Amino acid sequence: MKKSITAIVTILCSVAATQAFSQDVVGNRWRLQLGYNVSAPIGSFKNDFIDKTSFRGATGELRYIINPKFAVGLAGGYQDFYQKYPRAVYNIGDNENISAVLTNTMQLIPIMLRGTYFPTGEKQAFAKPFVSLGAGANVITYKQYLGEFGSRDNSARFAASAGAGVLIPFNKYTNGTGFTLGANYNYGAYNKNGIGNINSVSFNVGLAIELK
Amino acid sequence: MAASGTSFATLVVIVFKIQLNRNYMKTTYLLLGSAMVLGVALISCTKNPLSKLTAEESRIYVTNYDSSANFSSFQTFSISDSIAFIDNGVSRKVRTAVDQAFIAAVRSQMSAVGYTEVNRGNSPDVGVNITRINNTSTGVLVYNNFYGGYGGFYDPFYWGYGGFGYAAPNSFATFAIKEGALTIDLLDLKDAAVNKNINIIWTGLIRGSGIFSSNANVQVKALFDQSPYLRTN
Repeated sequence: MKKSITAIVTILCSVAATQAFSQDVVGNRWRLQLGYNVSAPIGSFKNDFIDKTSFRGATGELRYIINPKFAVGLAGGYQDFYQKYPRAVYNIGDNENISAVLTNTMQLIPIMLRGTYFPTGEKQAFAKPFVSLGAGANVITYKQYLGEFGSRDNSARFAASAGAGVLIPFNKYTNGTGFTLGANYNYGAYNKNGIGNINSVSFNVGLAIELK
Repeated sequence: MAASGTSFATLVVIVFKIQLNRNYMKTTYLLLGSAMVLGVALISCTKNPLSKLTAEESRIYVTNYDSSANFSSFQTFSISDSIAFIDNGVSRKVRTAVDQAFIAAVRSQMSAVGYTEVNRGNSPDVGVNITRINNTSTGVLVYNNFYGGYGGFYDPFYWGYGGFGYAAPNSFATFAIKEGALTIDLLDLKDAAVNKNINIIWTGLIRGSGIFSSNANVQVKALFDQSPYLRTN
């Protein structure tokens, strides 16, 4: 975990150093990014816990434009995963069987430090592509219900995310304000309750707002 | 979800406003405000698992047995004509229409897996105790403790073994009883004299909503269905 954070900070700093002061940033350096997020579990998360895509999610990031091509931000979000499995018999001890409708839910609140790179900089364009890399932690609420009887477990684990997308400015007067479209691969560490990881692929639509 | 739909529409309207009116300061605050409404609406969309369960889905059927018991060595059984109703730790015998339905359901399932019903006086191999537990005022009752009071709820004398105690099976894993439950226990009467104990060789537990207002047969059958070892052959 420490290694990954160090690596990301190193990348952020080196990119910032080579790009800094090469061009002027147009407008305010503080930007806000907010979006609606759809997330699909993959790997052990999908196979061992929930395979249904979650349509209940949001993302947000307060971003500082270091230079026209590079920004760092504090990103947060929320995602609610839910799945109800039909009645089945489970063996929960040597001689003990339980027939139950199983409901699994997980709520994730990722908090990350994220770097975003805009290859076209502040140049006016219909769509400005970007790629991003972030690392931080997921605040995780695990719940499992057998019938109406539930158990709960809260934890925080390392999380990282890599993404790509486009920013479509509303018009030529706004450089940092516009629609955004993006996709992310999210790595989430987790190793309990029979789940090996909580990785996911997510898609988001949202708004980027230049704070003036 | 309706709330987030409304706030999305608001966002779209604001975007058009930007095209008409370039009062960025105002627009920024409007955008931020709407986005926050959207965020709150999304979080309130978190699914509540309990509200998505029917009474049938809310129930769990748990069975446990004594692995040293040889179920095919038993042939006959007897069942009490009333149920022990343990209401906040105090037991009494009850025989309502619901209780009779559960007694009849157990009787029919025991016959279905090959056991023959005999009178209590004719040395049955297996005794059946059915218990209704209601626990409203004493908080959580741990299932293992329930067996601690078992001798008080069921006088061993009833089964012809006055002075003996009951030996509970491997206790259930983690179930605490907060409201209502129904248990069915099979007792080894055949070997009681040798064991100097009445061993409980099988227990079935039903917990959840609407146990006593739903079909007794379906619920009792679920317990027997998940116990394929419980049969005479």
